[in-house]
Amino acid sequence: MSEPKSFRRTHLDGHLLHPSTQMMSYGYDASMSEGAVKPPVFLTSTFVFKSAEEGADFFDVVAGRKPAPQDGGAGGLVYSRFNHPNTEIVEDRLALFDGAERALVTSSGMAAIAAVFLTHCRPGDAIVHYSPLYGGTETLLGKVMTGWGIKPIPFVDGLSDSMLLYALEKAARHGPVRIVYLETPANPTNALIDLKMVRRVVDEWSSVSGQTPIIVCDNTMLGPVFQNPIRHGVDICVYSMTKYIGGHSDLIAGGITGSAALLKPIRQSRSAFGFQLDPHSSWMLARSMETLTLRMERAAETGVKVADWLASNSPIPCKILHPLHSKNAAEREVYARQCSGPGSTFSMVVADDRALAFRIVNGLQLFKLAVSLGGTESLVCHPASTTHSGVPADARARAGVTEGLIRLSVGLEHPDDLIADLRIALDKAARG
Amino acid sequence: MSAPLPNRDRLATRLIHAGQSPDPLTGAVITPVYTSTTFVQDGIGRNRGYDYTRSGNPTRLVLEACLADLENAGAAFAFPSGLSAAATALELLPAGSRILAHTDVYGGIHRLLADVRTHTAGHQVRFVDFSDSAALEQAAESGADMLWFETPSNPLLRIVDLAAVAHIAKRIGAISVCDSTFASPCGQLPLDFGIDVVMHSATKFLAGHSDLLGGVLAVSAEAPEALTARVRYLQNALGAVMCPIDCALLLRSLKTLSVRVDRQAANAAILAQHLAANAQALGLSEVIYPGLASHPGHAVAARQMENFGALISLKLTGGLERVERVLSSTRLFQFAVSLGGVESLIQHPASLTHAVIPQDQRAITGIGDDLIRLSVGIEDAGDLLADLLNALT
Repeated sequence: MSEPKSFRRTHLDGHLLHPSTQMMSYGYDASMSEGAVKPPVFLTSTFVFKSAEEGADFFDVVAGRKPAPQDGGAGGLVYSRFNHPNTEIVEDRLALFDGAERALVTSSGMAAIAAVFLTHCRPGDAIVHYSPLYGGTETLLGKVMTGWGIKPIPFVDGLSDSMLLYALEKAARHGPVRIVYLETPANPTNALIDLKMVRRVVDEWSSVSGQTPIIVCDNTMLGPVFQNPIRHGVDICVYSMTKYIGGHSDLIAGGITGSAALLKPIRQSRSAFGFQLDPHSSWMLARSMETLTLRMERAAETGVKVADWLASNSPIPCKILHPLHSKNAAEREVYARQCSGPGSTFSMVVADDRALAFRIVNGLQLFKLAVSLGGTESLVCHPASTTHSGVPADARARAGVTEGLIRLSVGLEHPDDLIADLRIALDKAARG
Repeated sequence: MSAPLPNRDRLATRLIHAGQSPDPLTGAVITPVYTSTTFVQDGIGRNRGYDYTRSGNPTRLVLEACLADLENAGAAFAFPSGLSAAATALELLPAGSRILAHTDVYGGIHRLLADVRTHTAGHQVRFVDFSDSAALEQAAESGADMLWFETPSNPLLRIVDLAAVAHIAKRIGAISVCDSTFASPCGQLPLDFGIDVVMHSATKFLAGHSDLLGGVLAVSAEAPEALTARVRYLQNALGAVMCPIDCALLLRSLKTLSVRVDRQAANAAILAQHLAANAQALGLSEVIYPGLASHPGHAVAARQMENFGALISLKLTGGLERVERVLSSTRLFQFAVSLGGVESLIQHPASLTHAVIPQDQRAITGIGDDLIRLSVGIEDAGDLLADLLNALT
């Protein structure tokens, strides 16, 4: 392999560069764009070939008939549904940050998940999945994929190898198990899955069953700053890049990271289905990723302060579902091993009473009542009536998504202001 | 208990919420981009507050409300560049006015004052070192209509005592204008010290991503109402308005201003301390950073600033040849003008940003060929230090 080009430099002489540094420059060569320090927005749908031979060559690569060049790029630019410079900058940076060989960017988080499922599953297959998942994923698995003859089998304890094994065996009775699908920390309960355990159980089961499901993990909540599941044995990560990575609540995007071999067919699907992200959003994402580390670190710090305050001062008794407030020793051990920070999305659980929960969320002023998370502005949502309302009531109950569960996404505001907002709303709600 | 007032919230919170409430029509959490140039009128003399985007635009108004809040100003105005904001501010003065300006100002401001408005408006412009209180007092004796300065100044990072300038301006009846670009509202709030007008090149820290040009004028609530009204009038009359798309992008940038500037200033402090401590070994004849106790303006800076900023200026030994070698051998610090962005930059004022200033005056001020200016970004401090040490040794 030739010396990496300077715009894909990973070291300064012997010094390994941090991802937070690389988000400003990796994957972009200013000298190819008039010296512009920032990448232009390439608002183009198509790219001119230098010759017919070059066009044929580039098509062979995007169609998967020839391997991509070895320098880490995705081959020549053809048409913006296949590949695009603004998208590739984001993909290079996401892969680097996640410790993955490759990344793909999609038009939404759901497009990323759908692209993985539609690439790696066929009618008659089964998917083993953790529950609860983000409501949209639960809907895709439970209502859409079932229509394609793909059977979802849930498991609800991410720390227990016997429950996972039970789910694998149960799923295998329906058909080949292609995917083990995870989301950790869980949305909105913050329950953790032990990724190393999942890798081990799946490997052990594979050696017995002869089946080799791909382990896919939704890393939206902590990644790529606080958790890199690929380093813990996961094969593919999916992201809603709308959340922390986009970080400003002003774009919709998704991402996939993993090995070149696993992502190659997903790239083909993305092109075939048209799940690509537009150039403008890609450019905005690159801009967002420059501050990703700062935003996630600050929001996490503030989130801990808010969670601590709620745990000890809330005028309405509540349980805090925050990784640092977990009472489960096994979960705390997993957190210490697997995560380098708690993120800033967590839940407070008051009595199982919709009216009380609504009084609290309606009383908040700085926390805006809206779905989504991971933006600079703090948001609050009531999952049972919104993001998770499509999940059957018994599944919601099993997962602990009660009427009293309120999810907070803590942003970049001053912690004292957020605490004041909560104090005022909780005092008011307590008075009835 | 009453609800917290927006302007009682901490700056970090105001950056995200000030002037911005969810869109009343759609609930959109993020301010819509109104690219429309014109607005349907309800009748003669009746509209929803807008007629033509130069005169007023919903996106720009949100940005301006946020900027005014951040600067503790009565009102703020967004311009398409820092220089257009400055040019508009100078239009506050009638022809033949007397301007007293800081010797150490951005080259573009120097050009506007000394080489444009002296001719076109017949202003008398005198330059004096505002960081030297005695010299400033003496120069002010003969009167002035406007005091124009930067603090920290570009590129020598001199610190001007904000309260002292405000005091002199009031005494002699001059309008005081502080270019606060190098500090941002996260670094200092000049209006709180009695300054009349704050100017920014919003291109720098405010935008923070080196991807838009912009300027700001923020007028003190304490200043005569006529001053605010006149700036508003001039913005429309001269037509220097920020375009709605850039307004939205700048609003987006402001949301991370506090995390960016905190990290940039922390990084700069680490680098400055290391460079100063090893100056001789690294071939540096001077390390200029207001956060260093050795900086002549350190005490004033500590009093009036929240942090010491993210700019460092260095004087190198070894002549122009070494200067050029250093400029072209950093890899993370890119050799480019401008500052305040998330990515670190390195530049050479004498040949770039301040080339327009006559050489004799540059020499008097201290902008020699040996001077390099660093703008420190948000990268990992260890990575930046490794890059600088590689280039300097």
